[in-house]
Amino acid sequence: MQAPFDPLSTEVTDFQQRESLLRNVLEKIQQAIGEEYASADPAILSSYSRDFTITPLRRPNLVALPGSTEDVQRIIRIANEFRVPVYVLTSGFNHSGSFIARRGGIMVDLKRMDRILRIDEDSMTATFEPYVRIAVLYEECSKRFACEDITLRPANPGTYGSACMMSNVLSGGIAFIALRSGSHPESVVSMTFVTPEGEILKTGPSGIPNVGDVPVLGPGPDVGGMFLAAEGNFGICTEMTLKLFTENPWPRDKLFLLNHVDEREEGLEDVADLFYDATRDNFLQMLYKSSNRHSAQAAAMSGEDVGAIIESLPATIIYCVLTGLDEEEIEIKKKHLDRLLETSGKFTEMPEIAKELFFEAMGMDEKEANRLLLKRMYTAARVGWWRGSFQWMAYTVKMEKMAELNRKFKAITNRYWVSPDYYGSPVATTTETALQGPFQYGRCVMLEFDFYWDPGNPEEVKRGTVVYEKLHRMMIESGAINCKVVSRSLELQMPRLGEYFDICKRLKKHMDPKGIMSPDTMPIMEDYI
Amino acid sequence: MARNAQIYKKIQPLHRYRDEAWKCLRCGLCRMVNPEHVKSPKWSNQCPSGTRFLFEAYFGSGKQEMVRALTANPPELVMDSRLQHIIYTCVLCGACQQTCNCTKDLEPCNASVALREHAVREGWGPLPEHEPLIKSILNYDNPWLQPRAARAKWATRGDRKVKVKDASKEQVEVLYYPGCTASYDPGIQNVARDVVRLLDASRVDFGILGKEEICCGSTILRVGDRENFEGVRAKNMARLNKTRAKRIVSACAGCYSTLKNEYGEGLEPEVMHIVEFIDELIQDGRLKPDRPVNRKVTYHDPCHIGRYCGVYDAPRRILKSIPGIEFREMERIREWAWCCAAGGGVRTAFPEKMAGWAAGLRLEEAIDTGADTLVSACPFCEQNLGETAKAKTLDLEVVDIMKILSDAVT
Repeated sequence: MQAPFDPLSTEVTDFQQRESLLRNVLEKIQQAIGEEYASADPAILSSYSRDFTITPLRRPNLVALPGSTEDVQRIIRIANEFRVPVYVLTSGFNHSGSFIARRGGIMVDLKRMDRILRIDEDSMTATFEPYVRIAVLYEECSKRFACEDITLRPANPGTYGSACMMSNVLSGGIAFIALRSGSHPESVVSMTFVTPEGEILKTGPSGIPNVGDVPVLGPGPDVGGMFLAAEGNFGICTEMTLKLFTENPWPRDKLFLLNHVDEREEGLEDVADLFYDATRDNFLQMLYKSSNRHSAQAAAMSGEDVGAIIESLPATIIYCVLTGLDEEEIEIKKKHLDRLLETSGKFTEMPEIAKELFFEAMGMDEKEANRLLLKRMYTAARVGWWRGSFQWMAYTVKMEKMAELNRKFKAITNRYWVSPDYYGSPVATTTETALQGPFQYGRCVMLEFDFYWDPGNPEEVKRGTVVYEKLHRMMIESGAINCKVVSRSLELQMPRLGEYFDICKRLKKHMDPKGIMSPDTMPIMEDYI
Repeated sequence: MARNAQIYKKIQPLHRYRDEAWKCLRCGLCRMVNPEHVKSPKWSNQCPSGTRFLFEAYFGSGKQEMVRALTANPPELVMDSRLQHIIYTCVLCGACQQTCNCTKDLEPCNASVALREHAVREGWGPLPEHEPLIKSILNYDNPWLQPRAARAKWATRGDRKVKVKDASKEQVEVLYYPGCTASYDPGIQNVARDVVRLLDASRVDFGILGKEEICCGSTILRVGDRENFEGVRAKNMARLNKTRAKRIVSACAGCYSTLKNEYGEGLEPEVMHIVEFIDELIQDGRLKPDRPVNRKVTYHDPCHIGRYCGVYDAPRRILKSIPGIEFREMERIREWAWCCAAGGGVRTAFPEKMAGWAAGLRLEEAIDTGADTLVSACPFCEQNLGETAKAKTLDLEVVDIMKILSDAVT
């Protein structure tokens, strides 16, 4: 039997070689925020040691649960005093391995900070703490009104409702209604940050006395941007004010499912054409391509036979939502869509019976499917079910690159990972391509690859890591850019920024001279490992 | 759509949960009510031990990590007092598994049960607070240190006396199994009396085992002592089968789920909770609640009949059939109900820090509905919620569903 995890077992930094120092840090933090809110017990530390990404396991040396901005400030000051690294966690569901304590140190778990501080109907903003989860914020906002009968809501981040809104915004989560709301960073009005040296910094108009949560840029340069997509390198956000949008009651919408006639690999040119043509005339609210694998997965969750569902469904399904102010407008758009399908010759609308089967397998009716797929994807992310874990790889690319990048991606996965007949077996299926969008009137699309693997199988981890690195390098070198940070992506992307990369490094050194905030989550420290 | 989450079913040795422990995505669904059913921030949490202690280890996802670390080769974690605390403050309510199963098929609750059984094998369980209960069951066939001879005294006391057949001596169609708590706890005995009164009013051919009845073993099982449970199970099953009754009904959620789920196919009579049976009687017109009961009522789903066995509609139908009742739902109901933390040996070991705290939150949620009465169908829930309500001097009465129904039947 091995001894309990020994935080001193790896030689990375000075503090780890001094157990007495760690005890001292723990005692100070317990005095600062309460004894029951900090622990260095191995059983507590263990549950912070991994996420589902390829980031290697590593335990922090202690965990702290601050209850306020001032608590966070106290912890950061103690960390500075003893030069102990600090990592931050909200829900822990992320694609970048950002909370793994790569150098050990203090895990700041923000679960106690779960308050919605205010919802301002006049300025249409919500101010909340880090552990406010998406579903919770949505529900609370939906009880407030912009004007008569029109309720409020945050932009939909398109992830689990159990994930936290603030970290989703900070890490560049995808606003699913981006055509209406813009991307997440555009929704940020104000933030409160505890900097790496323990100062409390308020960005945006909420920080100015007597102004309030007015969604306006400035006055002066908005330094808030440096905290976005920064992986916690410039401090810990403890409050955020976010723009809200209206849950418009008037547009009606109708969901159609299109079947791509040609099979699989070469179909994306056709899809690109369809996206381009449909969105050029601006008659579609949204297209979203998925595939039968996702459908079968959903069906399996409902206890149905996966193989049978796969057999009953076409290879490629495109979700298509037409919206309009009334049925007449939807009907006009439907005719337009039919004409387009007829012209392309590559798509058909799925027969009602297939659609019914599909919804039945998913355990929902059309209205519910529409709501889940396109409005509130709170529980719809049925990912990682077969293999256990997955690596989400999503890139925003120009439409014309989509098919080529997809082909290259498939070539690598077919060579190194999956069997050629992977569509035939849900067990063998390990990768998938999906499109989300299109954005900007069919000019861009989010090309998403869900890369499924079993993190408990060492051989698969080894192969998966290799394939992941190859795929990622290929995508970056082919001109794709990550939609948001995924594990190790910054190592490849940031050096390509040139002078700006150097500025980031200088900024980090200036703001975090002792290098304590989330070290090694971005390649911007001199001793980056 | 909620699926049958197979909570507390087919528990495997700890190492069998290792593969799935790796598959936990840390999505956080196990920490909260299924997001589709969240109605307000105040009542959005679902895991009692996690919500109370907040460290990741106390949630379902954290327990998965415990399993992974304990079963690593070599182990990355060994049993210690903190791990013991984490394992035994979990109420095994199954909420984590229910929400996990919205998107994945992991079994965090079943893994927690396996953790508990592992703790027992390693000498870290059951807790000292559990020991007297276990010894009492093994020595006296009940956890309350009471003599066997006193088990059936409830039937001969109280205002509502009825004659009950002795199922150990004559064959009956329905065996009523009150269980230890309704048999011995003076505060709960009225539940047993109400049940027999209702069965009698419905002209059901029923009886009890009386002094021959023994504990179902639930208490032993829930604290992780499967070996001793198997002994109790075998002994009790023989007695129950000997009655040749067609059905066993129990008003105790713990007994019901244990007999139904843990005794397996070897138990010959069909097992029903009293709310299922009474619901049938009402539907068949054999029992008519015709006397108005003027109360504003809300219903607390006990984990052992709800998430463990999927019984949600029957108690609601019963309450709605009673004239005068104004029925109000809390925010967290059915599969997403907040556990009061009476079960899993938690109330015995952590009466105030866990059980009283969790019950207090449930009572607050009930009061938020405007109800004056909180109804449940489990003696442990009634004890825990009722005593907490009294301690807090709340203006809310906690009663068993049989009491309300009995008041409505002339």
